[in-house]
Amino acid sequence: MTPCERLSDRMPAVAAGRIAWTVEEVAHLDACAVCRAEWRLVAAVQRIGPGVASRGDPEAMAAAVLARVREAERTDRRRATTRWALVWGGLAAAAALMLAVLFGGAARRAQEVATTPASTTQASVAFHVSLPELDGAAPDELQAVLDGLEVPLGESSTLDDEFSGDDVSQQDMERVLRAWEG
Amino acid sequence: MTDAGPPGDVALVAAYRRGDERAATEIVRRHAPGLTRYLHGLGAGPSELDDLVQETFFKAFRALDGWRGESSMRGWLCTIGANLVRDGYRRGKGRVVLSIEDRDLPDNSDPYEELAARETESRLAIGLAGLPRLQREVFLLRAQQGCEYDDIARILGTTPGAARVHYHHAVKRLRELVS
Repeated sequence: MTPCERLSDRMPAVAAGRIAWTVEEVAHLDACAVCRAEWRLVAAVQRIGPGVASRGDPEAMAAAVLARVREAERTDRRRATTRWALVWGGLAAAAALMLAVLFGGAARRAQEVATTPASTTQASVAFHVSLPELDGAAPDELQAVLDGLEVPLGESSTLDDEFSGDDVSQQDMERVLRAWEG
Repeated sequence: MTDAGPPGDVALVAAYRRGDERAATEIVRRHAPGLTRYLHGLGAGPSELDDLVQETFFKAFRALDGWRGESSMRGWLCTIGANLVRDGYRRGKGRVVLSIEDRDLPDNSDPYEELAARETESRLAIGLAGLPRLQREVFLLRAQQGCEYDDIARILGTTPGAARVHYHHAVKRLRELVS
């Protein structure tokens, strides 16, 4: 390191009053125009601004800063709470939607299974009744039989229509009731 | 028995994190003057200095987790302040004007020397305004704030060698103006 570099490194500390020049350094400054010019700059920059630096009250400044920090932290907490509420609300809505899709789909599938021809066939197989008298019937005859079975509900006769009980004797009525009751 | 001396910045920050607000006041008291001079040197006008210094401390206290004591607290504060000055300049919110209205007078009673010192400071202020940003910041951090090159390099995201080169370029340009 050259004497100029050594001197340059010590200039800020000397200018701030933390250390002092040695005799050798003073001699170098007297002899070296480059170092002298740099020293003049470093010394001058120390003189810029002390007036503005000392005009504020650090206590008041600190109080103002801390008040702002506390307010900002309160705002952060409020924002965090709102953000979490939104997140949880969104998750709940998504979960509700998922459940609706899952259960709605399952119910629809169950309904479809109940109405498919395959299930009808299975049901008819399960409740198959052998009717050998129809085995030799022609298609027209079978259709006629089916038409007879598929009478609309409103047009079909009911027990109430057919059997009002008005023309049944007391003995017959009691006999019927005893038969029902076993 | 040894004299403990004043607590360092790391200890003050730790105390503030534990909830001791007096530590925050001490940090402000310790660094506000140097920070103010630095921002003034960067070109912030006297009318905006108080706001800038307060904003710098506000941002610093909000981001204390980002300061781990690797660089000096003063250098870190200066960086935050310099960014604020730059942002204000970019937004055009208040042109950055170098003002030397509030400078202190040198301690000498010789009117000729006083005049010469004023002239030097005036030229220096103008010269600083004309320097490239990195040269200006390195020069102020080194010559005014007394930061080491290692510290300046960490603060400005460069190498100590590059910081030294920026400083010497700044000195050379300022010397031409002031001489």
